[in-house]
Amino acid sequence: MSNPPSAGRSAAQGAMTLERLLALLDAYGAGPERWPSDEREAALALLAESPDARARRDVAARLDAMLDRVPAPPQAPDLLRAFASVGRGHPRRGNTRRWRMIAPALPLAAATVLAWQFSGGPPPAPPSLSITELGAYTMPTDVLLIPPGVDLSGPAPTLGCAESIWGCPLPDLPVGRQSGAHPVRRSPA
Amino acid sequence: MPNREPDEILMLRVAQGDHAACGQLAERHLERILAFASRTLGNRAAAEDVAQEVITRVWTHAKRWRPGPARLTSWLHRIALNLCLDHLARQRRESLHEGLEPADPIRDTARRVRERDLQDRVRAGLRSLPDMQRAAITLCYYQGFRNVEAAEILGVSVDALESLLARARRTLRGRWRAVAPELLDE
Repeated sequence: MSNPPSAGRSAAQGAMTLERLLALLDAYGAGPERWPSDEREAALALLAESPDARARRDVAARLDAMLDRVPAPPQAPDLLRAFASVGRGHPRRGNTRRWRMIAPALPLAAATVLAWQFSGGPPPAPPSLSITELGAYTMPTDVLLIPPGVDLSGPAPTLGCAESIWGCPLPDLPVGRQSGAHPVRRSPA
Repeated sequence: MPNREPDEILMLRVAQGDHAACGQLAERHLERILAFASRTLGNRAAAEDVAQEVITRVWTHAKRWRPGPARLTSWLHRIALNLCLDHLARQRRESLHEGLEPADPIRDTARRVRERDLQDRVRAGLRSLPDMQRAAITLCYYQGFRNVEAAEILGVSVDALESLLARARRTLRGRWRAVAPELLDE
């Protein structure tokens, strides 16, 4: 069963219809708190008048009850403490699989970013780092990392290793590449 | 220091290299990101990796973030969603390369009904959903995002979001009715 086009939001421009109310129940469930706020009042009014809608609401409520049986995932106090300690200049926790996974893939210059977080000292001026060299953009979906409002017309950061104490070689990268859609040549480890 | 500064102010401080501001953002958002990743991936360890990576990217990309119509939490969830989708895609590739056949969710769910409690049935149903449907359910039902925000995180229209949600709920009802009809009898 698929929602007919008239049950879409275009129908919500006018008065609430039974079709639209059923579509809301099918999508968002029985709880009005999850319904679109601009349609909630009209939907509740129609719900009070329509036995068919109430029957559908009851079906949705049983499904909601199933979804509610899954408790919230447990908290991770260790993880939170690790990030909170960054602010106080303490090193991260040792069992950071993620660091072990990404660190070998990072050029040494990019690793200075990570070194700040272990130094406990005042952070140096942020270096110009190529986003691709950070390994941040490795999948096509990474283009979605660009948040709304970002100034894409601004100068793209480039990787500057010439003055790095780590002595990493200058990579041969095209300027401005920010997506994993194009192959990136990485400097040898 | 009281943690009352708006996210936008904290992000500006992070962009200037302020570790403490990054820690405050982590304190404010990490658990919610972790909950989202846990529900989306169904794997606690992988979820912690995703949550950690999200905060890391806040630190490294703060200079590129600009306040806009979307809240910071929406941006964080968008990053988390991308990381989760990448993880799931990688898992599928690795399982295929290892010669493993994808599990039959119907058969596995039917087998577990006899042995496990109701929470496992629900988790299994959620895990069996296509990635985007699972993400839609997680954002709207569990994380409490409004439809406009959830649609933005998923990169779809609100109509498409509602379609994902409706299909997910239909699928779940069908799966759970097949293995636990007494819970969904009308």
